[in-house]
Amino acid sequence: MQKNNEYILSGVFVVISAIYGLSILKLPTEDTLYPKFVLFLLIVLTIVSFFQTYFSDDNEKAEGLFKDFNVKQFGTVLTVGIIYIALINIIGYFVSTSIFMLSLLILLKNSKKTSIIVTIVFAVFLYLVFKMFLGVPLPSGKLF
Amino acid sequence: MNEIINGFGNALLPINLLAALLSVATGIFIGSLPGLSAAMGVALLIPLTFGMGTSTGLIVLAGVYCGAVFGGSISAILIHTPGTSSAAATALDGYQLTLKGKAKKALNTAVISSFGGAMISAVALYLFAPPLAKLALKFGPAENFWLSIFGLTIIAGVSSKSVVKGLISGALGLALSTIGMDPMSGRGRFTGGSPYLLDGLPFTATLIGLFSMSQVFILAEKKLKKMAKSVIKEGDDEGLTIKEFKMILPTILRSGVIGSVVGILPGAGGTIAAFIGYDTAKKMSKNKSEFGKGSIEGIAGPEAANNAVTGGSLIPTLTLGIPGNSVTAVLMGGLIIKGLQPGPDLFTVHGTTTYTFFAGFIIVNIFMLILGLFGSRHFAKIAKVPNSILIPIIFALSVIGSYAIKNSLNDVFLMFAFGIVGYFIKKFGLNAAAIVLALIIGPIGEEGLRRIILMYPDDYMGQLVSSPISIVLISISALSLISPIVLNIIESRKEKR
Repeated sequence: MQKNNEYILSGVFVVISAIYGLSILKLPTEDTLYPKFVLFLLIVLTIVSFFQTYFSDDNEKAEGLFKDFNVKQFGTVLTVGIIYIALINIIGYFVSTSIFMLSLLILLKNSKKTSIIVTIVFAVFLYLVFKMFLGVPLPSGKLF
Repeated sequence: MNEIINGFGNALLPINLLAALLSVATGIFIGSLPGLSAAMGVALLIPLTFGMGTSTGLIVLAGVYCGAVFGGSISAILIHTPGTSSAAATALDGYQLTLKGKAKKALNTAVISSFGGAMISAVALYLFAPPLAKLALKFGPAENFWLSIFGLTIIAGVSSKSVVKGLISGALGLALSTIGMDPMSGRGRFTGGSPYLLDGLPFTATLIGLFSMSQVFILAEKKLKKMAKSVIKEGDDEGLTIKEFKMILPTILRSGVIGSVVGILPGAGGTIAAFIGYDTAKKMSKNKSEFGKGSIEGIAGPEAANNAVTGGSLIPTLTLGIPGNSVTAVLMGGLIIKGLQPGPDLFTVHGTTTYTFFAGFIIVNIFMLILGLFGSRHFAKIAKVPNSILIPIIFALSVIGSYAIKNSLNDVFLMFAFGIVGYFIKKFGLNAAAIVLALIIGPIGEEGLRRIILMYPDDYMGQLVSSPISIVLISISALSLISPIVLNIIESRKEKR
């Protein structure tokens, strides 16, 4: 199990090296020296890591990386998060953040009372700190 | 000397005092929450420092750093869960004292030792940073190239469980650092044709993604639990007596020195310092049998050491631009965004800012002492915020933080993407700090190498190894690569016996 993860990692680095190497080909020759040096490091280290895994004993902890992975909860956070970021542009930062906070808090099984209080306190905090104190312009959407 | 005194004058301005107080409180809070790290806190707060003056902003970052390192001990002592990894050694004896109904004594010992350790490291900061910065004046392109190589090798040695994984993280960071304009020709490279990436990866957004957003995903994948309750007993309000203070004083001084030295060594960090501090305290103690059963020396040893790392680790960061651990890597990002390049200029051109920052470092720790002595219990109460509330808050803060720098939603998308990358980095045991380090020092090394080749097209190899400083840097780079491997072999032989 442990070993498989390591092989996956080596595979990922083979892909990264390949993409990086192909991008170097597109550069004019005089600009390629340093990127080639970096590519060389990537390739050497990928090979070393592959052989290190290959020759290691597999009887170390046979523990899966995703043993305690809670798919539903992780999926909820990821989905609500992506919708939130997509919405900022449309309905503006404050509205989308408040909707995001409230829905995610409730979906993560906080009580309704707690969720509402946290959302309001957080919105007030953001407004005071960013708008009043720091004067950072916050993303405004097309609608608000 | 004048600059040092001026620094204190500036640091005592009301706005700086307020910044110090609030940032320490924030730091203690972040540190005491298991699952939130000092690096995460500093990354999230960098955008907040944008609207502030340079010195005030730096004081805020130092406050969060120092506060978080101490804060980790509160949950270590009260609920046997170190809030930060550097407080793991503190949990050994700290929790035993809580069980015996001496939580207050344990917390007081922790904060007094933390303060003592930090003060010793402040002395080291004042003494060693300026001369080391002068050395940096002698660095030409060749030395800069080797310095960046050295920076990468050290973090590989101690960072992750495997040297190869540390190095490969560094190489990935180097590859990422080449995105953007070519430093010599000015042509865009690896940008995928997008003008957005011409200036390189936006640093703060990348940091927030790697350190804060990734933590959201790490927290989200585990089943949410109710936080463990602390077991402070009724009538537990016995503090540290003068006699006990005298007993732990030698331990504080010793661990303070250990922590400062470990902090200066780039690559090592609070966790290692704390365990060395604990071990040494045990070896030198008259009451060895008390260790593990609730010895106050067992708290003073690691706590003085891990807080001494804060000042020590600032030395290579500010002078050579090599941050030794993830927090200082993030902090250095903050410095650069503020237009301060580590090196001799910090002590001449920007002397006032730098010495205000140093004085601020001391003031921050004084506030930490006061807050710790009188407020640890209250922090312990707030520190029970469950992950189900933390997840949305950190998510939303990461979004606003990455947006605020350039008012760009592209930065938010990039931050989110690096959050996912950072999640897999943690999962596969790679090292986010090594990536950030490579992002910072990669361009320095690249420019050094390119300059040398431009200046001496026929003899660049010879020029690269011509100066004594270069040779020293090459030797210590080799040493820092070999030493963890050798140490591993020695350790495995010991185990076999």
